[in-house]
Amino acid sequence: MKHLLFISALVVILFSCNKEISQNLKSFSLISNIKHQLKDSISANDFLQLDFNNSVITNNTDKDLSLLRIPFTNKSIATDFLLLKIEKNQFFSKGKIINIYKDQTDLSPKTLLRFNGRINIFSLDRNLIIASAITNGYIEAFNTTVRNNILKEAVVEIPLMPDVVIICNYPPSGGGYSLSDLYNLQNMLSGSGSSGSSGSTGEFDGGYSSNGGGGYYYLSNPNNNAGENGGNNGGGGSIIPKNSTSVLIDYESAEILPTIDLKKYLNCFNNIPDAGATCTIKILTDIPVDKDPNAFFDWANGSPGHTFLEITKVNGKQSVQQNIGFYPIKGWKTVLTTAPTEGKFANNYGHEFNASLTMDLTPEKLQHTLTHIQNLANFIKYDIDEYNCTDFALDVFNYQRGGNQLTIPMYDIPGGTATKGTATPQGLYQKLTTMKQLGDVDSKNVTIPGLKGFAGHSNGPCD
Amino acid sequence: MKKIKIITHPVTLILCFLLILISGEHLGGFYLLYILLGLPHGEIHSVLAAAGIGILIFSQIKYKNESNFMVAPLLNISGLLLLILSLFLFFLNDKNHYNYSTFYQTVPLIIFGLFNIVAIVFLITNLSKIKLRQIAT
Repeated sequence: MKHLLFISALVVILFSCNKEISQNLKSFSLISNIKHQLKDSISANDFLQLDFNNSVITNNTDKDLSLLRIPFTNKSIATDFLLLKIEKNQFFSKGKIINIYKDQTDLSPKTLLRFNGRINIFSLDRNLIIASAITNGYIEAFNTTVRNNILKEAVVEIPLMPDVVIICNYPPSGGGYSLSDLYNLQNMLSGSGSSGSSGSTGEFDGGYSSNGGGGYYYLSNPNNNAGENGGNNGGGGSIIPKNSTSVLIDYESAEILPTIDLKKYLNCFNNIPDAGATCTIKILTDIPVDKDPNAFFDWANGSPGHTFLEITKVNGKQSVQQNIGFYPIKGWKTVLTTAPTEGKFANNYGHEFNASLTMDLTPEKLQHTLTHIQNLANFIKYDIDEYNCTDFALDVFNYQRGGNQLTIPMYDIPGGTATKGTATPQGLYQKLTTMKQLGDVDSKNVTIPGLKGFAGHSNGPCD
Repeated sequence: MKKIKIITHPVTLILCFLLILISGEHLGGFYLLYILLGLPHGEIHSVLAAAGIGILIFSQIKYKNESNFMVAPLLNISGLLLLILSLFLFFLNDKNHYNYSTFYQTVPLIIFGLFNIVAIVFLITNLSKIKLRQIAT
């Protein structure tokens, strides 16, 4: 028994020692590798200025993404840093030099929680890629005309997350509050942010699409946050980056979806002249379980996912965009009766999606499509297995598509009576991913935003 | 007295629980359906609901004729707490507020309210049984 205890204790000690050593070696080799690789990628002057001792790494295990930030000597990591995407082999695959300036001239309570300033994004060899103002947390260069209108507003009430957010912390012990800036580093690294008028097309290779309604955010200065850091710097002269966690911020969805006046929503398109206008219609699918595209149902909350439409018309500086989805008025009726129930249309701005297909339309074709939606709205009823949100979206999307109809695999759903099967968001997702993989003629119009993306804003009703 | 017995009966509680009407954005139905759908996938709300119902039924069968026994009310209370926890987690884990219409539509809200009333009466009755037992001893 004595021997057994001794051997057990020895094994525990040996294993714990091994773990520590391997972690340190891994981190140590990371900085060594990065240093070696950087020597060839950045200027000698920049390299000498890098402060590797205060570098910070953030590992997002759920999306297999590691970002390393290395500050410059005598400069804050919040304002000047080198941003690198670290691969599994401990080398970086992408890098940018970031310089952010925060305007702190106006410290009134009204502006205290909004980030205004400027950002310069350089390539590793110091070529300026983006020089942009930051307004209300949004990097203007990442936002096209449609959203620029929103940026000017005093109160930003849109389901599109800013590139920089400010959070307020109240310590449990009391004694006032502290403010922290959080950056969306993926946007800065990809240099595209929430591109496109919808704010929904930006992609970041490696997982969660950070555009639109949410994303992963990183403390601007993790060195200020003792709780966040592992405090594992140093250790006999070896350089180990500090660990910092990222925060996933999503817009909280509305508790109930109000019914919209469809006519008023479609009226907005008439406010833009047809001559020279660019029109698009996009079908977007939100599968029930983001991490499992094969699941046609979310067993945790009973959601079958959702399919909706995004219609856009742009003419010069004028633009209109509406996100519209079809729902039953009373969800509980759908299972109690097989008969179709009353349907409603809802504004799906900021709704998450997992794949989309965009189609260009002429102004004439758009007008026909809008008329078709109006006609449908006069008589369609919601039927979970025979005319649901996916059926409606496909009906409208295919209306002006001619011979190249978008058809999706149909499935038998439990309790369903549809003889040809039921159209589901998952079926649409499968179709779009197949189109993308096979290089279909429309594959360039298919967007698969990593794990998920978020639809852009809607203009709302017009009289 | 007979009416009170019916209201405070575990079967009444279980029925009210299973017949709670959930209203989702596209789909809805009785909570029983959500429990059955989630059970094969080990969803926490389903497991808790099954455990709660199991405890209530066990208590009812085992201690049916031993009304003064302290274990029965304790089992009933723990069964009820599991049912409430099941519902709580069902809505708490619903991060997209998919089923929150349940609290905004009249029929689901009335049924939910009915379950709450039955649950409160059931809880008070069983607590009083424990108290009575303590006085008797």
